[in-house]
Amino acid sequence: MRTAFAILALIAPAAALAAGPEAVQLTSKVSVEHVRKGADGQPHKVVEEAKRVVPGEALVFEFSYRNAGAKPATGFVITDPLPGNVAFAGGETAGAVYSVDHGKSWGALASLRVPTANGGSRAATSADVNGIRWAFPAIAPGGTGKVSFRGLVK
Amino acid sequence: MRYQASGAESPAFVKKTILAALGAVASGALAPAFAAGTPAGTTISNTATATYDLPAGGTGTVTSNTVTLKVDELIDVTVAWKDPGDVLGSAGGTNQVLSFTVTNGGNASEAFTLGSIAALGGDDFDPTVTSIVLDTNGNGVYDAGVDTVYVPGSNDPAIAADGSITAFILSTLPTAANDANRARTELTAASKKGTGTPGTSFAGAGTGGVTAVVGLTGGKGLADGWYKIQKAAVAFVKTASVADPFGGATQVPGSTVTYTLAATVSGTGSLANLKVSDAIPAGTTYKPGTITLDGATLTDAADADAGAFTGSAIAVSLGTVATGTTKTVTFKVKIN
Repeated sequence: MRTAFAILALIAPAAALAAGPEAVQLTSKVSVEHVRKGADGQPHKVVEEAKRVVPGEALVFEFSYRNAGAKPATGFVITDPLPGNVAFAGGETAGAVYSVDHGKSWGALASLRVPTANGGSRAATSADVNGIRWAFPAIAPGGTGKVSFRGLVK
Repeated sequence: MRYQASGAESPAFVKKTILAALGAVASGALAPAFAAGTPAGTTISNTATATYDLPAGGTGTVTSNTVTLKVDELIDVTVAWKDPGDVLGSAGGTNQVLSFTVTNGGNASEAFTLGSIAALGGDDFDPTVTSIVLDTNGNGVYDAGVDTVYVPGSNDPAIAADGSITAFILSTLPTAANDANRARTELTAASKKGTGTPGTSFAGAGTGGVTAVVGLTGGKGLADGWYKIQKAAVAFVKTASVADPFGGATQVPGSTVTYTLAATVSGTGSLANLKVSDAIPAGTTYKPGTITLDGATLTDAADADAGAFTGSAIAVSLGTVATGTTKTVTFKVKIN
């Protein structure tokens, strides 16, 4: 065990140095879909960057990435843990996998199961999602992109 | 809020770190049951993480900026009529009780002003609301003298987030109302912090100084309850048949007259303490022991059975008679 920790302690700072703050950038943005009465008297959906929300409001989580390094970033994975007070509500960028156990395991939602009180398990639903992730084989130098999903304030 | 989990197989110590981080966040804002709504004032933070392979080997990790959202206070209320069906009352009846549930659909404790409306269309009469009563002892049933009479501005009920209370409307029903007439009466509830078009906000008015926002209910609710009048009426039909001593039906001294009194109760409900009495006609003498009720003979004494002969009249106590029932009393007299 001591050896293992020592190796990790060596790797971790080295990795941080090599990555550098400039290599890959990740920006997150959360917008809220407010329903507002428009000039025509009909309710319209207005999406604006959120600072304040109320329960039941729909949120759009958006993550922008950019490879600012000179080499491709391979094995690129974006992970977002849903905040505890947000329920996953679909609308996700294609290619996502999910976790219903806070990041211990990942997979298609249909393949995941949630333990039940009686010791069994049941099929996971979108309400159980507490992690979402996208994996990309490589991001070319200068490459950019966005992924997003929707959530509901519980 | 963040965690790292790179690759399919995370080392055990990484998992521990993840759990610890989540635990720390959860304690800041305990995740409520979904129905209750995230409490006003809760902070929701989100941070995404990206990992990638480093050219020199190993894994690079980059963390996004953290987006923080503040949960405002949501003002929502619904009112529902609790009685399983029309509340049956008698014309002229007082303290006729309608029961309602007022539910705070918001995410913070909220005080509400209650009101009632009895003058509504689409019904047969208007009751007079005498009071609104709060179910102070929380048993869901009106208890006269125990539950507190509601006084607007004085004991406006404060309801916890996702909580509900029972409130009663007490009315007097008009004496002129007819059987089966129905009346609609409304209980209203409005948030004291404010009402308005959904989305209307009140800066700083929420719990802990957050903004209070009117939800889809507009911050007010109402529900209709119904009264229905039960009125019963009784009709008497009296007939006589004569039997003379000679086998005929002529009225001569010595003839026996059999009187039949049929009491028919109609309408809705029942009539309590219904009594039939009939004076013995002049020139006749009551034949002892001839009172019958629905074919059964009754004694003449004022005793446990329903019939009695008082010396000048017969009387039969029918008790409570349901509508649609006919009670038949007979007695015999002899022509002097």
